[in-house]
Amino acid sequence: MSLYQKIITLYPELTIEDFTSMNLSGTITLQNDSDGKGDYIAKWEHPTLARPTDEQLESAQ
Amino acid sequence: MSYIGAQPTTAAFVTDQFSGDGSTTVFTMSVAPANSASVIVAVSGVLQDPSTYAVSGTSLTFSGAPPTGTGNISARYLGLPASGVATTAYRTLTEFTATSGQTTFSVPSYTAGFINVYRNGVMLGTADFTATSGTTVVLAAGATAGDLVTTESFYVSGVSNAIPAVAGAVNTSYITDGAVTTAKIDDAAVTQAKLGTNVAGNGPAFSAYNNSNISCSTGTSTKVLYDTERFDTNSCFDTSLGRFTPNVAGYYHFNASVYSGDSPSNSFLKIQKSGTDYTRSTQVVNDARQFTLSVMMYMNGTTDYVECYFDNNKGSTITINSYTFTQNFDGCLVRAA
Repeated sequence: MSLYQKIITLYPELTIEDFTSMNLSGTITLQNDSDGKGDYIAKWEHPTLARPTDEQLESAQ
Repeated sequence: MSYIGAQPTTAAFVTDQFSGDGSTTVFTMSVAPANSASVIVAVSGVLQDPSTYAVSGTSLTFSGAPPTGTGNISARYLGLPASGVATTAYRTLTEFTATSGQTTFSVPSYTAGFINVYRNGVMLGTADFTATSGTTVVLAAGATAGDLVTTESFYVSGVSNAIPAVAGAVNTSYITDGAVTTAKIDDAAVTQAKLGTNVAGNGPAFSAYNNSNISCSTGTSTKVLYDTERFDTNSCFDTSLGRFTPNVAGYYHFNASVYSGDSPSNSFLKIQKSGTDYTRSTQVVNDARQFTLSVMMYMNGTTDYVECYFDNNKGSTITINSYTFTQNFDGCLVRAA
């Protein structure tokens, strides 16, 4: 499961429009620098939802 | 005449004579005086004030045309050796012990007309010898064995042609074609304004492509790692980072493209400048496979860098394929800062 899918699982109210990959005014940026370290949250500025912790992401299925 | 101490030595000043025709105002001199005050000009025996003529190189220009007359214009040059000018010796005294009937004597280089010849201490008249070659003196009558023949020769061209130490004295006519090497030009001293039209610069340019598949999660900006160079003129492209960091400040043009057979509709290709989104491609909704992008931007030549990212919004992971034909990132300096 990708980082995006884990976040959507944790916060079902989020849509692709909340992510800057789709919407330039989105508040969440997920990034992968192709350096082998995988996807990561580069920016989390959502007005109401808290940035998920590593533990929450680990448990999201 | 007797002298106390060494006998003074003298030499005539170089003189040119011209013939006026009532209309010509410019005459070409045999030497290039430093300025109008360095030459005495007389017309029909009347000394001319320096304000009535000008000197530029070997050109003597009168403000008004001198009258008609044969040899009625004289220009006498007052050239003195400039300080520090290296030249052939001005005066050379040479002694010979003649053999019976000897007429020809080889003397150091001299300027024709600037040589005195003595035979046993008696100065010879101009009818008694010929000295026009610049290297020999030929007596009209053969010498007697044991005669002491002395030549006092002068070499004046080096003095008369010395470049004066004044601003603007040296022009291109004094510089041999091809003599100025790049070592004489300071680094970066040649500005854009000095370049001719249609002259391309040699600023940084690169071209790269990705030679490996790249997996892109949906909802994520994934760096497109262009990991293989076609060329990289200034070694500014880092294939391990897919990053171009130019070492010359200026305005650069970049092109980028990617291809995915997974048809990642709603996705974008974008260029980041120093970690911040700068521009991105058109969004294509239906069956988008090829994404292209071009942009111009200013780079500071030190810390600014550019990278490409792909924003996958398909809803599932897609793969950017390793097609060298369709995956390009290239750029070059268009205009220096």
